[in-house]
Amino acid sequence: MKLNRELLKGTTETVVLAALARQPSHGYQLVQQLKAQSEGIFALGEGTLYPLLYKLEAKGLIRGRWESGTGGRRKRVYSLTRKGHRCLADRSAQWDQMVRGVALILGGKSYA
Amino acid sequence: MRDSPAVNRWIRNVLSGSGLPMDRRTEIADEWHDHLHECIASKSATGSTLEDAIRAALAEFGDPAQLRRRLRREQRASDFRDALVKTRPIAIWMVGGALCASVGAAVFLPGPTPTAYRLAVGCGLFVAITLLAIVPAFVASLLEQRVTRTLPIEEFHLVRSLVRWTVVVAVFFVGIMSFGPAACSLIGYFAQDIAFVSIQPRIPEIIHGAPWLIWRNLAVAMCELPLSSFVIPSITTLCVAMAITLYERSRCVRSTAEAVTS
Repeated sequence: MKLNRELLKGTTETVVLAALARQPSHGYQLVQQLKAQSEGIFALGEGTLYPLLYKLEAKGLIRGRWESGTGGRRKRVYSLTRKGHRCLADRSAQWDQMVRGVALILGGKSYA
Repeated sequence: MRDSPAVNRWIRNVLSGSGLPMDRRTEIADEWHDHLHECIASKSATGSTLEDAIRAALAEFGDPAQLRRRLRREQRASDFRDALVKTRPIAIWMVGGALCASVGAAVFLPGPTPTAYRLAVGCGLFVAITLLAIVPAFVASLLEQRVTRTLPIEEFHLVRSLVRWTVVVAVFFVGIMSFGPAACSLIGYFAQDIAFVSIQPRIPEIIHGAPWLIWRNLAVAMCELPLSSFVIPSITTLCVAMAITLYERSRCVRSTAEAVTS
């Protein structure tokens, strides 16, 4: 089932922050990681991911640094800043609250 | 694979109209090159030909026009944030100073008009005039980013220096010149008020009519502002900014020459 675009929009930043909190990654790795961990639900296109990463970086929530990879290639690896960790904790709390509220309205379904 | 002409062309096409600074473009191009390299390698490993793999990787990356639009939008937002951050200290000091001065003037200067009216008009006048100094600073800060973004590094420093000093000197002059007439007009108003009261015995009627008098004086002060505040300061601003820029340039040339000879 394909997710509604508007529904996705509000959660993409949180999902990317959560993935980077778990493991600092470069763009390609992040795309694969999100796809695998969400069982294909979050199949973010690169065209969406990169502008989002740059936006988060400009806000100071993540930091990108160049690291040398295999075969002498340089990779830009993104990791969460302290501000990013705080933001993620805040958004996770909001998300829990929202899921609880929606679950109650939808008839007491459990999403734990 | 890294230098595949199709990939190069595609990346250049997206970044050329994005409005990003030159150094940022180079960095993003490197990052995307690396991403596409991995993507193409993984597709080639599954049996696709190189051409097909490149085509599929680029198609997956997204629509170039849409991507360019997104980057441009993000860049604009970032410019706006930067300009706000740069202008914030000026805004805080000037608005804070203006409010303190107007409150002080309204409370401590003598006059028959009720303090509430004097406070309101004093605050309004000072904030309005102060904004005249903050708005140009904000616009100039945005301009500085736009103008210097696409320049090569040696011209970048020169132009950035010119724009920056113009902004600093302009803000200084506009601030000084707008504070002066504003303060004079307010003090003048109070003085006029006192004189008016001294020759008129019917004080209650004058107090009743005072708000109109305040607005009339405010309008007169605002009309007089452009002449006294903007023509001379603008010319002086340009001259001072040019002088500082030329000095900076000569210093830059001198230090480069010293570096070369050493």
